[in-house]
Amino acid sequence: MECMHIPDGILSVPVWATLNAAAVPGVGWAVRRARQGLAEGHVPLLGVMGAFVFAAQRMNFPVVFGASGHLLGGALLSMTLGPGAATIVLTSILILQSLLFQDGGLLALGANTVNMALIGVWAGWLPYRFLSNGNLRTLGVFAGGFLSVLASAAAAICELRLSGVPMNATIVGVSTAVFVATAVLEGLITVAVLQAVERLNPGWLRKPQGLPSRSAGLLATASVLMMIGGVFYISALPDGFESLAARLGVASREQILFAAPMADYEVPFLAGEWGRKALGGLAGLTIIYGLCLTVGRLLARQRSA
Amino acid sequence: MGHSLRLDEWARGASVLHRLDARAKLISVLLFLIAVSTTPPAAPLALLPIAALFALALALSALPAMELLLRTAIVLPFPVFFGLISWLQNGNSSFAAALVARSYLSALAVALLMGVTPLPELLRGLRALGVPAVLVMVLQSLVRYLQLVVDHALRMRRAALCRDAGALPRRNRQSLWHRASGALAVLFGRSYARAEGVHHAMLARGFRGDFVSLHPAAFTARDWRFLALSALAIALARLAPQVAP
Repeated sequence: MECMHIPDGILSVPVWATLNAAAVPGVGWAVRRARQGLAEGHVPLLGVMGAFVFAAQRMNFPVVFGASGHLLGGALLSMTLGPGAATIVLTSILILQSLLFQDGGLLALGANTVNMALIGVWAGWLPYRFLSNGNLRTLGVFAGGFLSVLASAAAAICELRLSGVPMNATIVGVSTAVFVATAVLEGLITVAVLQAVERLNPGWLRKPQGLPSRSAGLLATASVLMMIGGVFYISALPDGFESLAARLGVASREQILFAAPMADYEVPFLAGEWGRKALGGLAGLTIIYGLCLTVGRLLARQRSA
Repeated sequence: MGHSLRLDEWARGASVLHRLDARAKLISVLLFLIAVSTTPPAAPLALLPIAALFALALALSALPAMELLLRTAIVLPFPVFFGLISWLQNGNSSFAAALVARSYLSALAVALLMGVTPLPELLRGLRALGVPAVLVMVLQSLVRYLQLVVDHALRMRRAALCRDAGALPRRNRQSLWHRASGALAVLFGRSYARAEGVHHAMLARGFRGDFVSLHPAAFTARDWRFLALSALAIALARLAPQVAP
C-alpha cells in the first residue's frame, strides 16, 4: 500500500480539509461500533493486531520471476476483528506510519484514513458479509481483498485529480494495471491466510449476523466495482476531473492562475486569496476540533449519567 | 525500522525544543504544515521564508542536520513522480518544483517533531488534546508490542529456514505459498494469545480503563510563549512574500 500513502504538499486545501472533516466522524463511528462488537479486552487486542499487520507486511509471498508481494491487511482484519475494529487498527497504523516513517502526511492523514481505513476496510467487508455462508465463501474472501485495494486506489486517484495533479490516459492506464495486479495478489493472500487461520481456530473469524442475501451481495459488490471502474475511466479523460472539480467549486486551476498577480495591496492579510485560504483552513480545523471536543464531552456525560 | 529507531534515539536529547510540551510542538507543526500547504503552487519561491523558519528550528534542536535531511529524502519518490509528469505533460516546471518542495518540507517538519519528542509523550499529548481514549490506547499498545511481534516474525522465519535449510525448491511456488500463509496464521494466533495475556496482566494489576503516566505533562508559561511566537513567525513567513512581492 506504500504507493497509496499520500504525502503532505500534494493535495489542495479544500480536498485535505474536507477529508479530515470526513475522517473524524467516520473513525468516531467505528470506535462506537467496535465497542459494542468486541469483548472488554479489545484495547490490547487491537494494538497487538496492528503490530501483527506491520510484521505481516514483511512476509514475502512469491509471485513471478523472483518478484514477491505482501499482505496489506485491511480485508483480513475486517473479516477477523470486524470492520469497526479494523478501521481503528488501520487508523492507528496510518498515524504511526505518518509520524515515525513520514509515510503519508499529517494533513493528508484524513485522506489516507478515508481511503484505507474506511473505504478499504468496508469494501473488503462487503463481499465477505454477504457471501460468507455457503459455497461462494472463498469467492467472497477473494473479492474482499481485491476490492479493498482497488477501492482505496480509486479514492486516492480521485483525490489527486481533484487537487489538480495532472494525469493522462497512459499514466492512469499503467497505474490501473499495477493496482489491479496488487488487488489480485491481495485477494489471493487474504484467501490463503484466512483459510490457514480458520484451520487453527474457526472462532477467530467473524460470523456476520442477520440474513445474508447472496443476490444483494453480488449486486452490492458489482456496484462498488462499477464505481471504481467509473473513477478510473473519468481519471483517464483529459478534462474529466477538471470539469467535475469546477462544478463542485474546488477547482485548483484557478488557484494556480490566481497566485501569479497578487494584486491585493490594500488589506493584504485578509484580501490576499491565499491568506484567506490559510485562515479558512485554520478556522475549519479549529471548528472541527471544537465540535469533536464538544460532542465527545456530551457523549461522555451522557454515558456517566 | 532504522529510521524510526534513530528518531527515537534523537528524541532523548535535551535541547530547547526537547524540553517543550508535546502539545505545543504538535500544534506549531500543524500550523507550519498549513502554511506550507497554502503556498501558491505557481510561486515556489514563496516557500523560502518558511524554509528558513524550519532551518532555525533545526538549528535549535541540535540534531544532526545532514542525516535528518538525507533520511527524510525517502518521501521524495511520490512528489518527484507526479512533478515529473506535470512537467513533461504541461511544461509546468514551477508546479513540479512546488510539489516536491512542499512535500519535502512537510515531511522534514514531521521528522523534526519526532526527533525532539518521544513518541509516548506525543501520544499523551494527543489524549490531552481530546483524541478518543480508545484510539490513543490502541496506539500506545501498538507501539509497545510492535518490536516484539516483528521480532517474533523474524524468529519464525529463522526457524523455518532451520527446518528445511532452504531446501524447499525455489520453484515450488505452491509450497512456498503454503509456508508463508501458514506462518502468518501462526503469527496471527500468537498475537491473539499475546493480547489475551497482556489484557489479563493489565486486569490483575488493577487497570481501570486508562494508562497512567509517571510524569504528568504540564503546559507551562514557556510552552505558551513558544506557541505564540511560532504561530506569529509562521504567519509572518507565510504572508511576507505577498506583502512585498
